[in-house]
Amino acid sequence: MSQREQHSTHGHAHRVQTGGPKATREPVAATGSNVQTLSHPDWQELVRNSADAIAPLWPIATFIARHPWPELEHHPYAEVAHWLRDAQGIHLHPPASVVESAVANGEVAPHHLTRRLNAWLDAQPVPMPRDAAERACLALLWTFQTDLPPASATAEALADTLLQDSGAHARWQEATHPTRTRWTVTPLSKRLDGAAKAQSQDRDVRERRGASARGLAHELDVQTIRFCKLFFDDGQASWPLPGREAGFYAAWRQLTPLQPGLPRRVRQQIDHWPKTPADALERALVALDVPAADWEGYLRAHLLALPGWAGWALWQSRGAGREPSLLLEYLAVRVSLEWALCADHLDTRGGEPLRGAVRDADTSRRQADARRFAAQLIATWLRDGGVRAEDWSAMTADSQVACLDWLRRFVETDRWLLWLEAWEDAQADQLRAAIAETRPEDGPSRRGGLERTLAKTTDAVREPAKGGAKGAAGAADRPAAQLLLCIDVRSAIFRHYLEAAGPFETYGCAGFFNLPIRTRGLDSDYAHPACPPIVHPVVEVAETLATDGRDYRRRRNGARIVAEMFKKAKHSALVSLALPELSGPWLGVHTLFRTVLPARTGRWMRAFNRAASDKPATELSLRRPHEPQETHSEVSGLPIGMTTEEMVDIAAGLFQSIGLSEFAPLVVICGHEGESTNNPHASSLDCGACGGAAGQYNARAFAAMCNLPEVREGLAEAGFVIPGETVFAAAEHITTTDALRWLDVPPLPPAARSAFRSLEDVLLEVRHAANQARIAQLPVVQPRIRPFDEADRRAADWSEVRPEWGLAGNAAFVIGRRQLTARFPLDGRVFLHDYDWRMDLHGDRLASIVAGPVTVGQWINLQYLASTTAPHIHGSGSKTTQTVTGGVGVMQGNGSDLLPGLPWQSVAASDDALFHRPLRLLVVMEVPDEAVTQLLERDAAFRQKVQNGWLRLASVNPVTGEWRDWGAAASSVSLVTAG
Amino acid sequence: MRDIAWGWLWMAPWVLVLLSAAATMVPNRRRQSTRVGRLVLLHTGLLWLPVLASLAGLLFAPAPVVWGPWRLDRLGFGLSLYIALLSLMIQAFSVRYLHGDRAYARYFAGLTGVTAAAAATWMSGNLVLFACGWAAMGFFLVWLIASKREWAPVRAVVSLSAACFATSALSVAAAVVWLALATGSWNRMTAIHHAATLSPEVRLGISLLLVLAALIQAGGWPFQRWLMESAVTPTPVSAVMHAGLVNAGGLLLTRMAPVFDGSGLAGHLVLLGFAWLSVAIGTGAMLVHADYKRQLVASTMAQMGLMLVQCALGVYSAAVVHLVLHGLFKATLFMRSGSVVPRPDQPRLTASVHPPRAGRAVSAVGMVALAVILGAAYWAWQPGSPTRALSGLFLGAGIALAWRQLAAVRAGRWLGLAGVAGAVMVAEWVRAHLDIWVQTALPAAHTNLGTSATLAVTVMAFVLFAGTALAFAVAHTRPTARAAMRLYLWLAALGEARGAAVEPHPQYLADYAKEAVLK
Repeated sequence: MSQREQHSTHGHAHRVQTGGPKATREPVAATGSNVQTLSHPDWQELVRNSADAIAPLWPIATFIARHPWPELEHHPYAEVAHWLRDAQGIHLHPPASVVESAVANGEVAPHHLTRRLNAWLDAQPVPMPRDAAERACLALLWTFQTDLPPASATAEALADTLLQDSGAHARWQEATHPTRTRWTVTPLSKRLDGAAKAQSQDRDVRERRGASARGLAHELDVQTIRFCKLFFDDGQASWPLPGREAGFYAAWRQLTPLQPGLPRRVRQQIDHWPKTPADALERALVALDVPAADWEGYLRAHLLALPGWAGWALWQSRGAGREPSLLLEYLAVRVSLEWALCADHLDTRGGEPLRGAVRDADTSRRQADARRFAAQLIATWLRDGGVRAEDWSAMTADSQVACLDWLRRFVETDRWLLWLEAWEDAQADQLRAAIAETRPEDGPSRRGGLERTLAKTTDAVREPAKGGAKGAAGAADRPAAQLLLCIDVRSAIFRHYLEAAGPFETYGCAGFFNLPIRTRGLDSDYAHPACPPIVHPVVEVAETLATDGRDYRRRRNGARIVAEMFKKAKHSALVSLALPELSGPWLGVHTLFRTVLPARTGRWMRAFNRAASDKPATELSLRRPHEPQETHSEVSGLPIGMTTEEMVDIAAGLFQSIGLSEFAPLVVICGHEGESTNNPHASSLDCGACGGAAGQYNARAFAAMCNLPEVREGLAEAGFVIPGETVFAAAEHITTTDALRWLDVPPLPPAARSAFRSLEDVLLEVRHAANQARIAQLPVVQPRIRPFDEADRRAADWSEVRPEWGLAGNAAFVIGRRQLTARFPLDGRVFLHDYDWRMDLHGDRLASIVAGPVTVGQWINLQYLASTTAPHIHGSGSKTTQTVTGGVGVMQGNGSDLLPGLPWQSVAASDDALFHRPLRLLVVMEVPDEAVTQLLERDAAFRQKVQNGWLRLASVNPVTGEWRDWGAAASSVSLVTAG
Repeated sequence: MRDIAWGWLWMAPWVLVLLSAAATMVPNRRRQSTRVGRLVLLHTGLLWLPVLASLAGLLFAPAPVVWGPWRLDRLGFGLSLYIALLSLMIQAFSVRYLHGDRAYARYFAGLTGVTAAAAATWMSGNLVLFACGWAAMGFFLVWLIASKREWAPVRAVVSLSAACFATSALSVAAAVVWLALATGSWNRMTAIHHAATLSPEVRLGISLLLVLAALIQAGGWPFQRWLMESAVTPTPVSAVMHAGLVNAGGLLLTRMAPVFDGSGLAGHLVLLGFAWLSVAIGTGAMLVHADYKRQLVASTMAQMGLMLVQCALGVYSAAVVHLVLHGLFKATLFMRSGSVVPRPDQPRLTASVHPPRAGRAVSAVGMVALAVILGAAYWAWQPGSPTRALSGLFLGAGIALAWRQLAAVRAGRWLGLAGVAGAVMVAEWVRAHLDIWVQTALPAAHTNLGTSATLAVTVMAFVLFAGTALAFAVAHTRPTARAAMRLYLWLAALGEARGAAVEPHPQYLADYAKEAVLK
């Protein structure tokens, strides 16, 4: 769609003209700065600033692990959580009942909490005697109640006495209900609703609200949703929204005056509304009586009302590589409509008096709230803190307010944050214990050769001890095969059983294998950015036929035509009426088979599809073509293929960062993919590092690249000598069933062939063992099942809502040698990135691991965290009531915000039990302290994440085994500012 | 004696599954326990019994079996088999799909209740039992919808659908009481046989009550709102609703055919008018809306309109076949509604990157014209049944569509064409045999409309359908014309849910998260 240029409108911006009857009374003459802002509003900047609270939303077909608040990392996590609580009513910290159950399960012990509480109390001035404060805090922490109990009569009386003091009253009002939160400004529609609720005994109001019985804010949201889902449709509706080529705002302005169901006054209002979004936005803001200084907060509140659709608009404008002009249009529509709805409401109620009434209602409600809260807090001091009423009265009004405010902060945020941190500490302790268990041996290293070479130069490294599972016999020391798998938490179980099954080494690295590429399948017009969203793809790798493909295309198209015809018929006015007769018998048989034999039918359908679209031999365009006219792709516009230097750099970089320098006869590059049926979020089970898609192209490209003689030459120069007999093969780890599917296996020399055979021999055994571990964690209907069959069924059954746990449970990210993590429990909670600090003396590799894979891990972690604690806004609701809309995302029920995150079923075992623990990612690095210091100095973005508590950082000294926490100070709670 | 045996053979399995469904609800309701899981699996296993019993009845029972208030005829056994299969398929789907839901056990009870009530309705020989069965269907459906009443939109939808189904039940009750008092018999067969002796006004009055009930149940205009808002229910509930409940109106008219046939041209025209409007609005709403479940819901409105048009034309066998096949069709589409996310990396089907676009606007209208010509020719060639005119129209449109689709594809188009043609032929064979079977199972129609009136209604239906399609095609060609925009907005609004039935963020989940424990 085309976005219009808005700059031309700025010239008119100073002309403040408002619609409706109140036009002449609007506050044009406000403060000086106000006028100044009005005459040169930089709308793009204003929108960009207000959009810091939302995140772009990718299409569901390539579900991306998405940081819900990527632009807010320069604020402390705790502070952002507090703001979001006020702005959206969401609670990001683990809920009380969850904490209680974690305590009951023994996942967090009282001593963790006590330590955190003491540290927190030590770190700040406490307005009460320490023991009283500690008693009150402990009582509050251990009640697990969100709401305070009602206050006693004594406390009520004390509160009344205190609030009679006008100074104390004002300060307490400001503390509990800041006139304006710095961050968002409550929209008028919401305030009118609040006023109406306050006067709900006034029958007149209720009657007049008529159509908007659920309030103006709700009506505004509903209208926005209705328009967004039709406007943003991507081919699912066969009759597109008329005039949408003209742009979001223009189409809305053209259609709204004709829209049935809107009050006439609203339609007339829009009919005379400005033609450009910037003018419209300005006119609406002025009409709504929002001071220019509040515009940013006002717009932010509007964006946070439906963060999904706003995020989709943001993604669309980013994709077009433009300023957020679509977001400006979105805001223009929302705020204009808000004004039109409110104006209609105010007109019928008689404008100014109602505005006054709103203000009065706001004030009286605030005062009542503040008074009740003060009484409850005083009651807490008296009851739990053991403060006597006489002592309380003896304090000055100032100290009383200080005591109240201190406890208010604790009640609202800090106590939940303390529990979060205590739980995180407990979990870190667990990990630390698992690592400590492996330390004393400090070996045997599987990289014997390297270690021996290095041992001569580095005193720190002890000569590896003889013995151990794999290194027993000298020559057999060398592994038969090495497998490179994704860091994904699901790889850990598979890796463990593979290593146990034979002379196989596994390595963890980000599953895009360092390739900044877009991949394009055979005959496809879509070049997928197969790298993390923070990496910009610079080349395209396309799949081309190696042989004649006519037969394949005929077969594939033949099957596709039947499916396409069905789809087209469904969307045709006349044919759709005959479709039940034409397809009903077939669909009936299909459903009956799915019912009787769910797993087998699913497998048959998949086998049929595979037979129909089984590709003949293909190759990937790795090398940059020589002919200049062929160097750029007509689909993505990127260069096709890579130069030899690029390939060598990519491969050397990866080998260096995972510490791989000696190569086995067979090296298997494994991408990964989930396998599920009838699952709109199927891509959320795929590789997050490959941009929410299966990692097969990246694996194939990397393997093929390493088999190229010129690349091997370059690698040898860079110090990575790959023996001539070593072959790289590509495979795919199917995470749902823990099967390994071969993608590309080149002709194998004898050593590689025997390695291949021995690997093939154990795959089934590994699969059985991994299935057993994985199925044990999943909720099952029938307790007695065979794990192997069950995993198989889950992948193929169309009624399965939890095919696998995906990345649920993710909690930590370990960067270090494999033996460090060998004793970890097999519960799929840890991202494992192999890394050997001795091969990275300058810390460059560590820096790139932190910038790439760790960031991906952090995004995944925050997405799971937000989907768990705010499933209604940051999740995507229950799978059972989801509806796919516009081919771009999901909504709930009859329509909703475009829901961005994971379904409820992907984080919860049932409606009553969470599976995912909403904790922040713990990053553990096996490096000397200096390396961490250096990293934090170099990487400002990462330092910010650590300091502001967006993730936690610890290091394990590779020599001494000492564990060190690098978190922000003693406790990040001290960073919380009130409001 | 033999009748009693058949009666028990048919009824016992239904009673048994009702009991087993109730049993799943007994143990600790809030927490998922392995005990609930085991009971649910047992229950879904038992669901095969009604299927087998109905099949046995269909194949071997001497028709009709009269047993107390029951009348087990061939159509009844057929419908019972269909309903039992549907119940089995949907509940088997729910075992995993709804696992972990707070109302897990309740869904099985509700789904079993609703299907058992439907089966009882179509097997009843007594008018009171018939009306009770009808009311029970509505009750169980509302009860099912209410399973997630902690979600605000659900509460709005529950009160609306409760009002709708209560009206429909009252309407049926009034119709059967009137019929019974007028004919002096509470036996369904006796009463409808005597219907011919009633005065035309009484027949018209009763017929209008039946039409009202059928329209409400089918979500026809102007009662579409409850259907449009039903997208709020979990998928299996939607599946049973669209496959087993909305079509009750068609069966109601089929069962009461002699009464409705006696309503004269006026009754038929009233039904035709409302039914056609429902087809037009349903189809239009399906075309403009972008979310999948809403498209499915709107399509149901259109399909049920078509079923009622077939009733208005007096071709009950076509209506019954349509509602059965539509049920399978729609239940399947609902259950696989998670599969509709488009895969961006699909290989392109067309020969070039940019498929030919020229003339697309013209061809939308041209295709309708082609469909009209083909349809009219098909009907004129063999003007047997009144529905043949409409089938011809749809078929013509299908051929036009296939032609346009295949023109853009190079490799594999003949293979694809053969696949489509083969699938269509098999389906048509099934449909034709079903139709013949239903005709033999139905008592002969008594339409006293006369040939000329039937012809008039048929032609009218043909013209209405062709005209609607043409109007949509024209609007599609000039989308920003004021009239086209108005039409678009009206269709979008008619297919929408009320504001009260929408919640921007499902707040109840925030409460779930707050109350949750750890697994």
